[in-house]
Amino acid sequence: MKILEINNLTKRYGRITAVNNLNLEVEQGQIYGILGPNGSGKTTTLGIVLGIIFPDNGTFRWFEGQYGTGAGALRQIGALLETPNFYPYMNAIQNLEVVAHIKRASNVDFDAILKLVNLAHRKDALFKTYSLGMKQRLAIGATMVGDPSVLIFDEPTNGLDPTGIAEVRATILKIAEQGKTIFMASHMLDEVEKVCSHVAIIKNGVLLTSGEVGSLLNKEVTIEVGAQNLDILRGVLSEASFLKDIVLKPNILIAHVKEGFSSYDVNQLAIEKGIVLTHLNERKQRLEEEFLQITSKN
Amino acid sequence: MTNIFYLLKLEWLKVKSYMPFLVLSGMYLVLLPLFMSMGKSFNLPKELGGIDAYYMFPTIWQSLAYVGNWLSYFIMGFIAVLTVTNEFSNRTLRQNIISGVSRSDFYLSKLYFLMAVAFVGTFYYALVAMLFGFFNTETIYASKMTENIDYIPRYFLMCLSFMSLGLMLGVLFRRTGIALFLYFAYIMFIERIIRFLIIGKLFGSTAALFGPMSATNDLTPFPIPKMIKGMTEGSEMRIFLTPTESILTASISMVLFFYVAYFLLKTRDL
Repeated sequence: MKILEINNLTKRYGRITAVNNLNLEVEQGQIYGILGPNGSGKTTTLGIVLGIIFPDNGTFRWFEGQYGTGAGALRQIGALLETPNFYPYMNAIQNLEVVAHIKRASNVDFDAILKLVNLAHRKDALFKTYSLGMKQRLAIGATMVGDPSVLIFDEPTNGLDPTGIAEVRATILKIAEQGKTIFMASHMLDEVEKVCSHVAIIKNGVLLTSGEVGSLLNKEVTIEVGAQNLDILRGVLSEASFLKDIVLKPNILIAHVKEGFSSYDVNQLAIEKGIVLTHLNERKQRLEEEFLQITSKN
Repeated sequence: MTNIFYLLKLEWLKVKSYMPFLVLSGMYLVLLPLFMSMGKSFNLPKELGGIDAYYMFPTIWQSLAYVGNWLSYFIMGFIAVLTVTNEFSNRTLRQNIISGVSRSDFYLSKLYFLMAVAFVGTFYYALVAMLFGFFNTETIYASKMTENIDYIPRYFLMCLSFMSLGLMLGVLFRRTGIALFLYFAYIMFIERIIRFLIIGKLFGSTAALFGPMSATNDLTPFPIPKMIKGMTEGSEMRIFLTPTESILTASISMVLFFYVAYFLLKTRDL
C-alpha cells in the first residue's frame, strides 16, 4: 500500500519558495529518509502532510485515502516534528495520557513505552524538569502510543549527545524491525545511511533525486590496487574491458569499474597475468560524496 | 454528544494539574461569597434602603451578580486567555493537531470547556445567591425569591461574553502577556475611549452605550434601588442599556468574537 503520496506540493513564504513542486511516494514498510541541508524544506514538507501548514499548491494523500485526509489519518500515525512539545506542568504519564486520548487508544501500556525509550525511572517527574535528551526520548515514546503503523521523525537526534544519538537510532531500528513504515527527515547523511532503506534528497525545496539508499550508494565502485611495479599493472589493467578509467596515485592505482564488476575481476586478471597484488581494496562511493556532488551542482 | 464529552475530557486532562487554572478557579469560589459578605460593613443611609436590602430576595440576585461581574471580568477572561495561549507557548496546539485532533475539534474543545466553566460559575453564583437570600430575608415568598431569576441566564451570558473576548485575543496574539494586557486594557480603557470619544461624538450618547463589553457589564448592572431609579427616571441621560439591548448586543459580539477565534484557528499556519 502507498502510505503517503505527495503531488506537486508547493509552499511559498514571501519571495522564498520553501517547497517547490515536490513529488514523493512512500510505500508500506519503507524507512524513508528526506535528506537535505538545513532550510531545504524538509520540516515544511512534514508540516504540510501533518496538517499544521497549508500548502499554496499541490496535494497529498495518506493511506490511499482510507482514513480521510485530516485528523482521521493522523491518528494512525505517530509523529515528532522539530521539537518535543508537551505540557511542562505534567509528568510523562500524564502527557502520554493526553496523546492516548487524542489517538482514541485504549489500554496503552505506558510503562512499556517509557521503558523502551529509557524513561521509566523518571515517569513521575514533570516534563519541565527533563533534559533535552529526555524530552526527545519522551517525544519518540509518544509517537508509539496507540501502536501506529507509520512513524514520522523530524531530525530525531537533533541536539543529543553521542550516547543519546546512538540510543535514538537503535530505538528507531528496533521500531523498524516491527515492520512499521518510518518517514524521517535529517540533514545528516550518516544517519540516513545507517537507518533508512530509501532516500529523497532535497535542496531549496526541490527534489534532486530519490531511490533506494543501496542504489544511490552502489552506482560506482572504486577499487584501490597496488603492486610492486605499478606501471606493468597499469598496462595490464588499461586493456581490461570492465574498467572505465585508471588514475595513478603515489603507490596505488585508483580504478573505476563498470557496473556489475568488482575487485574479484581485477584480482582474477592480475593472477592470469602473473602479477602479485600488494594492495586491493574495494570502496563504494559513499552517499556523502553523492550528496555533496548533487547539491553542489545545483 | 459523545464528541462533547470526548473533547471536554481532553480539556480536563490538560487543566486538572494546571496550577494557574486551579488557582483562578479557587479564587472565584472563595472570593465571590467573601466579597459579597464584605459589603455588609458598608453603612448605607436609610434613605437609600439600607445595606440589608441588597442581601435579601430579590435584590440579592442583582447585587451578587454585580460582584460576580467584576470577578468574572478578571477570572473568566484570564482563564479564557490562558486556555489557548498556553497551547501556543508550549507548542502543544501543533502537537495536538499532529497527533490527530482536527482544527475544528480543537476549537470546539476550547468552546465547550469555556461553556462548562461559565456553567459551573453560574451554578455557583445561583447557589451563593440562594444561601445569602435564605439567611438574610426574614419572610421568604416564592414570588420574591424568583423575581430576578432571569439574572441566572444573564450571568451565564456575561461569563461567556468575557471569555469570547479572551479566547479571541488569545488566538489572535498567541502570547499570554500581550493577550492578557489587551484583554484587561480593552475592557477598562480602550472600549470606553472608543465609545465616548468616537462613537459618542459621532452618533450621540445613547449609541455610545452599545459597546460589546459595556453591554456585557450591563447584563448584571449595579442594583439601583427603586427609589433612586424614580429620581433618575425622566432625565435624558441614560447610563445602562435595557436588559434586552444588553442581551442582544453582548450576544452578537460574543458570536462574532467566537467566530473570529474559529476562523483564525481554522485558516492559519501553526
